[in-house]
Amino acid sequence: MNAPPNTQPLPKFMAPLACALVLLALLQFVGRTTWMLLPPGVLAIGAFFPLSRLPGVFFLSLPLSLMLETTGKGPEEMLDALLSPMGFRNVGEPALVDMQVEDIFSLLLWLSIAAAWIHGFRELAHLALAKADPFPGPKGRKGPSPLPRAMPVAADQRRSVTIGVLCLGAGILVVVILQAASLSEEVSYAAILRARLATLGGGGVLVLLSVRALTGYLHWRAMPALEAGLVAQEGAWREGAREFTALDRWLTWARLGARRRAERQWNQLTRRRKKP
Amino acid sequence: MLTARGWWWLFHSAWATGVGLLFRLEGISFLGLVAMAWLLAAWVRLRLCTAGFPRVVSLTRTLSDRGGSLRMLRAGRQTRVRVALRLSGRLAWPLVRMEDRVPDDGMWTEVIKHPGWWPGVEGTLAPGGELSAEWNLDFPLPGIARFEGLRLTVMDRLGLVANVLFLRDGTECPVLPAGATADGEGTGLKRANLMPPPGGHRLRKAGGSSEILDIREYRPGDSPRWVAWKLSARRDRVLVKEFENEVPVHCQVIVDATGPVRRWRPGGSALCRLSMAAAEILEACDELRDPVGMIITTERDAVVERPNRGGRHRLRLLQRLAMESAMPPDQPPVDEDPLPLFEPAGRLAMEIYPELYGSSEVLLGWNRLLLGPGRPGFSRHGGWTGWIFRNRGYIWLAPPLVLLLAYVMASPWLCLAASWSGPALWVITRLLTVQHTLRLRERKRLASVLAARQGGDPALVDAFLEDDTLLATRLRAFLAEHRRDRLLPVPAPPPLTTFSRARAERMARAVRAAVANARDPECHFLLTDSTDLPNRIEVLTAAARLVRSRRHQLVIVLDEGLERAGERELIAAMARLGVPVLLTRPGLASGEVGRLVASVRRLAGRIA
Repeated sequence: MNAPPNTQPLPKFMAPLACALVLLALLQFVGRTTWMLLPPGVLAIGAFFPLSRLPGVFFLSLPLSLMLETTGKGPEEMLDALLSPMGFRNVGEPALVDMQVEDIFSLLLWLSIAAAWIHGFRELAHLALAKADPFPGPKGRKGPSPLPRAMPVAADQRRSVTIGVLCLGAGILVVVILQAASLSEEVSYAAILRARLATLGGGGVLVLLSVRALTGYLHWRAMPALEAGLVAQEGAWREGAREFTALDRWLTWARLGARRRAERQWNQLTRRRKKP
Repeated sequence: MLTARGWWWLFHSAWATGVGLLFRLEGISFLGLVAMAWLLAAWVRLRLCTAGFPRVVSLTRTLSDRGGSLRMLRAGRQTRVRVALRLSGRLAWPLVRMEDRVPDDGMWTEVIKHPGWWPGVEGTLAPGGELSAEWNLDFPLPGIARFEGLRLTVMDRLGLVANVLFLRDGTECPVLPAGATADGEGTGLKRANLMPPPGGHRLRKAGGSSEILDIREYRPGDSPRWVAWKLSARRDRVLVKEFENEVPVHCQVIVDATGPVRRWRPGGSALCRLSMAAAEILEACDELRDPVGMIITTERDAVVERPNRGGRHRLRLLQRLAMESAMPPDQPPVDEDPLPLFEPAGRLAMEIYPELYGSSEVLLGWNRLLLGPGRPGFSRHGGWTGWIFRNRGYIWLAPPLVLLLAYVMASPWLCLAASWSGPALWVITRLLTVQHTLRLRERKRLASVLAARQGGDPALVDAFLEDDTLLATRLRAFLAEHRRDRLLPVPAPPPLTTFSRARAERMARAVRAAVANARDPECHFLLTDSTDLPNRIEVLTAAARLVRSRRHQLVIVLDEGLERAGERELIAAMARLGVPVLLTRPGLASGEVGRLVASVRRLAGRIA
């Protein structure tokens, strides 16, 4: 349990690689160009580099590959375009990886992509834990964490992560489908966008406030005595700062004034005093 | 709070969502939304699992060394600390870093290899589970070891969101000054030590027993009856017989614990070294089975422990020494700007009281910051921006004045400007005095924490906000309590002396009290340092003369300070009276003082 981190064996590299291969296979149904090879390529190249930056790069490579895929132009076409200045052929072509809300196969596919995405990141985050310290700490610390670790095995929570991602994805899909169904066909995309932003932003704020209120109440119930004293002190100070402390300020003024006078008199006395 | 990894997650998912929504790429926006929802779910779960803190966790701390568990530590001896955290909540903590705050003046044995780190452990904490860490604590100097508590950093499994908590402990253990090591050679002065029965006749002089202990050279003052005539004739020099001392010698250890002795210097305060020396004297006297008493003189009073024997009495003396060694010197109020103290005090408050200092409750409300403090404000804000900050309440005079001017000059433009002059001046003032605003905000946080520590008086918050001298004094005391005042510049001394500097008089009074309450034979040890003492050397000399006139023994243990002003004069004056002076210094070997004291007592002959 308390083994030093350098002797703790790293988890196997097979799990993220399997995730990447599944992702690659899934993306073959929607992808047309070779941009989809980018995330597994990142994984393959990352095996030769320090693991500290790999989760972030992998995370960046997924939407980047999808974005490049939507252009319909792979590296070969881009090379062609570079070689022949007149080679713009696929401009304006509809996106190939767009999600079709009506198509159940498309929904499942995107859900799987999201699950593979988070799973891959999760495995990489576990791998990077030994190299890059994820804990925030005070400034002035040098070197990696010297503390002994008893970290959970990455494979323990795969099932719960999958269930979590599927639930989240299904919830978001329901919201998207409801938004699409509530608006008629003639409505412009700007109206849909506004409705989505309002739903997402408002929902996010609602969740944040409700969770903060609930956990704030729980914390208030379990508050230690010193902190409770501070809360009571602050409440009393806010209520009485205006009325009660006015007198204190004037008293402070009087005290400091008397002290300055005394100092001035003392200085005058010592200056005027003649040595015998 | 989001970690660095969490901020990157949020950034990528946000731009993926934005691009997807903007260019109507449903799949990409869906992916970004799932990632953001994952982040939100992780945050919610973390908030829920730490909501009942600190009731959902419990802490167990055990101290031990080779001999088993401990309740008191010994200076210079390594202690094993084991701290266990048990979770009683319903939700597991996915990733936890548990760090134990090392007591002030204590040292984690591996801190040199890992600067800035606290000892601890990282792992996961299931409901009902336990996480434990073990580390070695080294306390080089006597004092009090206060274990403030644990810093807990709780994160979700991916390291996206984190919550930093502090579990307060407050366990205090006295760190007793270590005496000489037990394997030192014996003094060999006594084989028996008979206490006279109550009302019995006590011997007038020590060493009057019939048992011969040793033969030594004749010294002036030795009785002719002690001369070993036959042996002297055989050796052709005068030798005397040294008899065993069957009478207990009452020893009084007089420890100087006034302000200058408590002041910290590199290598520890002089009082810490004097406490170590006193512990060695206690041990040497205990080996001789002599009753030992102690007089500790402080700035305010003197604590007297009557001479006695036994383990409990010795333990009480050692605990008293440890308590005195832990207390920092009294800091008289000094009129100074508290601003340089904000940064170290804020860092310390964030370390020990993160739930108070980091709380949003203690922030000064923005409405008060915008409107400014009421008049008059005495906190010093220097410079011309400070003048504006202090007098910014007079902005409300601007619109009527401009309006008056417009009436006098009959100018419609000035009439128009009157309505805008107030807000415009307000904005300019706010921009010019933003540094003073932030300083006031920081001051309010510190004032709230200090007032909460002292019982939660709301009027004290306002006093701290107004009175610079009061705040600076309390901040210095707060820093000194946790040993963070050592790198701060020492403030200028107050113009009027508010405490007594008569250290020599205090010492002499303690010596006279010890002599007055003495039961012959007696031996007094005076432990002090040489700061300011030689200026009043005649007072000490008079006290020493009184001791010698009562045929008592006096030994002075003097700590060598950085400035050795007048040390030679003191030693010479005491040598004229036949009072030996022993010197201690940082890095003196353990047991050295005890050996010196034993040899001095042996040389003293008749008394020992």
